[in-house]
Amino acid sequence: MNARTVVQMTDVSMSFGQVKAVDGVSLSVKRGEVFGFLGPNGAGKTTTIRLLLGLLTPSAGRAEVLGFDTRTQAAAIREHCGALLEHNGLYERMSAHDNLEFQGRVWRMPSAHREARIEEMLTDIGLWERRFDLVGKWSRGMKQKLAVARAMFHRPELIFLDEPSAGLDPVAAAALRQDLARLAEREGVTIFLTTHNLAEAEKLCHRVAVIRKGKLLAIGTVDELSGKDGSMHAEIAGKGFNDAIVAALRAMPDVASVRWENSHVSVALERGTEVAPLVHMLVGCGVQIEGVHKNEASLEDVFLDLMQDDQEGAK
Amino acid sequence: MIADIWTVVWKEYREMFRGPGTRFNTLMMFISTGLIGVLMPVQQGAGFVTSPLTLLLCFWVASMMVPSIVADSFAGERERHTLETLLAGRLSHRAILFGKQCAIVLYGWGLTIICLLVGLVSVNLVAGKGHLLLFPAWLALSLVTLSLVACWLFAGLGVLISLRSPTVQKAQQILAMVTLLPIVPFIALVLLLGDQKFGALLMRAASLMPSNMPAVAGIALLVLLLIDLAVVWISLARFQRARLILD
Repeated sequence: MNARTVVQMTDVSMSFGQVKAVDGVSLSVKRGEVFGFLGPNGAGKTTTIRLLLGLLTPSAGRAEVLGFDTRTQAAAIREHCGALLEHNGLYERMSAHDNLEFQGRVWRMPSAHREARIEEMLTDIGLWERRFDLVGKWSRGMKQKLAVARAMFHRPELIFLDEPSAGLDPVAAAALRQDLARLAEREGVTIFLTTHNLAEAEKLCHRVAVIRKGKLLAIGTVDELSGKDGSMHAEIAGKGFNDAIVAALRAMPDVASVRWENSHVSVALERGTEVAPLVHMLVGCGVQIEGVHKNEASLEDVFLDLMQDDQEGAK
Repeated sequence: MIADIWTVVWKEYREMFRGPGTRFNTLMMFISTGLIGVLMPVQQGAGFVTSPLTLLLCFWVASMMVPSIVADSFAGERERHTLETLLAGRLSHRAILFGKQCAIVLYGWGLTIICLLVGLVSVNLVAGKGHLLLFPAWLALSLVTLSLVACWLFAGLGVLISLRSPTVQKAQQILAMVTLLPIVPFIALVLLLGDQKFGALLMRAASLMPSNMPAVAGIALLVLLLIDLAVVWISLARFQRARLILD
């Protein structure tokens, strides 16, 4: 593990009885980057964070965070990290000020420094005027903002954010994303972010990894994964699709993958592939084409393709 | 370590006395102070400062006040989804455990001392007759130390039960049963011997008390201290972050 690497997982597995929550995951996170860990519910994202924080011990493999072994130096890891976990963990019977003050006390920040930091953080997220309100009376969006501020309060080198925008309405989620991006840039902190919100990952993350049923399916920059190196997606709407036609589409050269939902087919194409031969083939098979749209693949397209490929592989 | 324990105590008191629903705790404080600090001394008169039965107050306050708040210590954090974040921070398991115990012990013990001081004032006002009534030295020392170890016992047991309870209600139910356990032998004796024989036994025990009382208090202190340490040891053994998160 070199100085630039803050998280290093080598073939890490974690089982709960017969269930493998994390299955042979290997990855690394570089200092200063926002690393997205994407996956559907139950993919193993939260378990991975718990493993990296040393809250759980892996069944197999080895993980290091900031150079500390998660099995033997968990306390040192928690000393240098911040975390916003599955639940925001705020004390709702305490004020926002007291929640942050507790965080400062836990990390032994001197009183004057603590007060200055509370003002800085709450002002930054626009909640300074509400500092003496009980957190329990706040909206979910406000609580999440405060929880992010708390995770960064003691200036950790690395923070773990477990689905920070889960359950927020689109406006609150966008506001949280803005705050998160601004704070991350200003504080220069490395962020390990789990999410199933792909737009969030696309906007915030430098690199992403995709996990499903504990297995790592892909890892790379958002551009690499979303095919912005030239590969394309064709969205074809029409009537008359069936299993045989979709199978024929999959068998065509330069077609990476096909997703079919009712009267809509999404085709991932290799770089430079034309759509016309596909349309010609579909028309020849009796499909009544209503529309064709060719665009660069989004992270969502890639994510859904990966999920489908893995599902088909499992069958 | 001490600073970390104090940080947990600070947080516990913020939650206990500043948030909504804390009026109940304040009300309980006034009621117990009124009962033990005013009503009982007034009824007992000068006997309040001389009778060894005053020692029972230590256990009464501890058993009445501590269980009402201790069940919340871990089960409450689990119920309100704050436990995992607390465990993911830099505080050691000892700091968290001792911090929570300490907050409750200080609360119960502080309340007992306040009750005794108010009781002393009350009894002097009612039965002083120009003389200053004070506890004898052995009784004062026993009251202070026994109330401390009694509060520690209830706090320790409560934290131990709360540690793995899924809800506060469940923790309260188990703790109520545990608190009632010491009474069971007395009920059994009443059932076995009958009212009259049990009464005679109590009278005989009471007649033995005055001469041997300091020694009895000393032995009780030692026994309670050993039980307290055993409870702490079990609590430390059962405090495993992974289990607390996955439970």
